[in-house]
Amino acid sequence: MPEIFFRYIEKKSIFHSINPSIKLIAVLIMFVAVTLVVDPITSLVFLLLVILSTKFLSNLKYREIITPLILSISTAAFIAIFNILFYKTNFVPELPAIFNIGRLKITDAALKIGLSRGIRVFSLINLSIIFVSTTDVTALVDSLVQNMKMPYRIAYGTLVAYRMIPLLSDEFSQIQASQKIRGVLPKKNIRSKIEFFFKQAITLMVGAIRRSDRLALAMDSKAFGASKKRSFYRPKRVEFKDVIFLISTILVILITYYIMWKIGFLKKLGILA
Amino acid sequence: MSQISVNNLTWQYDGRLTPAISNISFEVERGGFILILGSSGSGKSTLALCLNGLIPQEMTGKFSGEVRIEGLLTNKASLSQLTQKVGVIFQDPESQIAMLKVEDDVAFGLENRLVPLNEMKKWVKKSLKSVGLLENKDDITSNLSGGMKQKLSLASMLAPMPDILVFDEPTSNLDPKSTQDLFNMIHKLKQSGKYTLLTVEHKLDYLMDIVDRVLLLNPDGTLLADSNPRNILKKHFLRIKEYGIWVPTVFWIGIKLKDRLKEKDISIEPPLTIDEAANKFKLLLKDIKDDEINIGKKVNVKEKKESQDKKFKQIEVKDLNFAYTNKKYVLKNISFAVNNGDFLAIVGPNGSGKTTLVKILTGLLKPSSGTISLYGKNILTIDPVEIPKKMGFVFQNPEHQFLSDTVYNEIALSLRLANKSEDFIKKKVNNLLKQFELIELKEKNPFSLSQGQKRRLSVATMLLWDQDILIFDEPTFGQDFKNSQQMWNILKELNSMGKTIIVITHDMSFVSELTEKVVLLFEGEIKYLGNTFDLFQKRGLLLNSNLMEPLPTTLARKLKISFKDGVFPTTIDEFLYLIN
Repeated sequence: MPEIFFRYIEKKSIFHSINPSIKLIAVLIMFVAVTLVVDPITSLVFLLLVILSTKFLSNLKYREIITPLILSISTAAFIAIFNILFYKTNFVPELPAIFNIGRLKITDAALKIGLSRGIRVFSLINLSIIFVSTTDVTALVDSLVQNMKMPYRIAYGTLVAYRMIPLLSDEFSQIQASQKIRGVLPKKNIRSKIEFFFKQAITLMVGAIRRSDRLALAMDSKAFGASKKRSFYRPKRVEFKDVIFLISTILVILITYYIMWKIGFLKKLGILA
Repeated sequence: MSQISVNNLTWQYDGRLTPAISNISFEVERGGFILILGSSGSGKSTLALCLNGLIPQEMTGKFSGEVRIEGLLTNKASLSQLTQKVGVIFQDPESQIAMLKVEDDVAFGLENRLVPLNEMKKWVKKSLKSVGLLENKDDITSNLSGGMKQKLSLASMLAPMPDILVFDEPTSNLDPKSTQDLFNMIHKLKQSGKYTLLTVEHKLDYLMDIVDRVLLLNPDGTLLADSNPRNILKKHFLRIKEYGIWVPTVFWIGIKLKDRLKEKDISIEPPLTIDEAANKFKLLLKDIKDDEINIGKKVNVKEKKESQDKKFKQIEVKDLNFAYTNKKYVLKNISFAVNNGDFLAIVGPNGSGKTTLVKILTGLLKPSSGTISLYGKNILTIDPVEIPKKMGFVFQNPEHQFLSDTVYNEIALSLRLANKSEDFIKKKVNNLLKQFELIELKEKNPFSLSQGQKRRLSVATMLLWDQDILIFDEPTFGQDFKNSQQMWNILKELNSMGKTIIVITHDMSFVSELTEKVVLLFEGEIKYLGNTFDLFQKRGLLLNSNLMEPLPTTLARKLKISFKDGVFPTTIDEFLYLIN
């Protein structure tokens, strides 16, 4: 069974202990802060912050997140190289080259943009990895309902659907196996293959719809949705430490911005760059 | 006031032409155990949903009459109250669990009913303890076995402390060991006297001793009879047989015995429970003869067809080992051979590697080491497209293979892909449709067929290539008596035509009555390989491998009767021969 590469890793750490909704907000703020930075050096500083916090605040070992890490490094590298090679300034004849690769001219702006975009993508994926690996899905849903006033029917409905995903993928491979074993294989052209895929998808959907009907009955039998409110088996509160965590995140961002601006690297913030 | 009172209840689902149940009336007092019997499609599950108010409150359709639970009208009272009083445990373990963790799932129903936290903690603990899952409270629900999932569903239903529990075929997806566990639990619930229990179930052998009353439904959803089990079986046996409803095996034996004893002018009332059967038959034995009980010689009732053809090995498995990527071995040192014309069962508890073994046999998985030969050729060297033409495989869930819009096209599909002429296809498909009694249904959508028809269709689609080897995964699982018997006959016939039949099954009466050879898998190893009759003499082995012995064997043991060489009967006919 292939492991889902983004998954929760149960441990004890500061990140694990933060209220999931607050953590989500902090991560989103960090997302925006990282995205807005154009300058590669400042991006690198943020990346460093992300890496340091993974190391000291999450208690995660690198080998535990190696698969998503490799994925993020390769994505970031691809984006960096692509931008360095093909950024629009490289094709403006008046601009000077800092170096050439074959017949391709690399300009100063392309190098900076490429590096900064690559580094930022790397930071963003890393942030997501930290969030997912330190947050239990059930706890996140509990917290969204209790602390963020998300309607519980939608929240837990989504959670149940999430639980169904591995079942569906299991079932799909069973459907594929039963066709293969029966000698029913698509012809070797694309059209036949696509048609075949859709036929199998319909078979999967018929089963999935029945299953969801049954599940809905079972949940109704447990009084799901019978009253507007709900009590909570795992109470989630926003505590003092969560507020401190959120404030510190914002402070760290502002201080980094300030220092980088003071020493002259961070000249402007932009979304499009 | 009765605890449950149902008055002229009729329910018709939207989009259906006839009511699922109609004009049903009955009353239930506190504390009884009621069995609901009926053929598939007779509205048993519908009746269950009427009791906790989901019908009519959550479903659309026409409702008339009234249902009262402790005085509350189910079409008016709040679902929160109704579902608290009536807990329902459904058939499919996969689609009853809402949460990712065991403990959370039990709490789920309590949270919905606004139970305060400290009480919730107490109730969750108590109900997990009562089903024996307290140690697993932090487990991830999707990792549980089917049997454990059903126990969890039971715990979730017990937590809000209902007065009435409804079981809707709770064991039909479970293996024999888990089935027995759940039955034991139901026995305990009954003995506690706290609950009124209503059960839809067809595995009756180990349940009859606690049934107080039976509601027998007609196929059109009306109530045929409402009485104690003895009356029901006595008065309505012919109907029950006609509707294809399971009866307790001992009752079946009793009926057959009654026929045989008629000539001797001895009358016997067919028993309902195993203990009763033991007592009755003991008296009978005293009546007829008290000289010796160890009579006769073991009869081979499954008279082996003397085939003139020479036996040869069709499949040979040698030193097979298998592990999924870097995990522990699922199959260890498996070696066995299948000859032409064999009728072989592969048995073993869930998780013992049966399905993996068959996936390797059919080339879906590659062995980690060892070889599989098909007609002397290593299976890995055979073109995957050719394997299905030599060896047919019928999956457990027929729906997984349906890709076409009509029954006819479903069978024709693989012939069309193989570019056969339409004339040839027509002839072939029509023959199969006739053979499997599907000809009238040939324009229907496969998904709209009944359970038994779906099964037959999936067998028909497999037989296109006249393969000599046919493999069936749980061919009789969860089916009513009629469809089950039909399947038995199909397999028997195919085997008598000289085809090799391999069946993966939990159904020990199937194994004992039909098959000749058994491969018993336990934790990935072969624990027994040999003929069926001898397997069922090894009681210790059966116990250790979580297998149930066939009922005739149990009965003979209780009666202390055996064949001369000390072996026990394993089939009904052998048992009857012995007792005669």
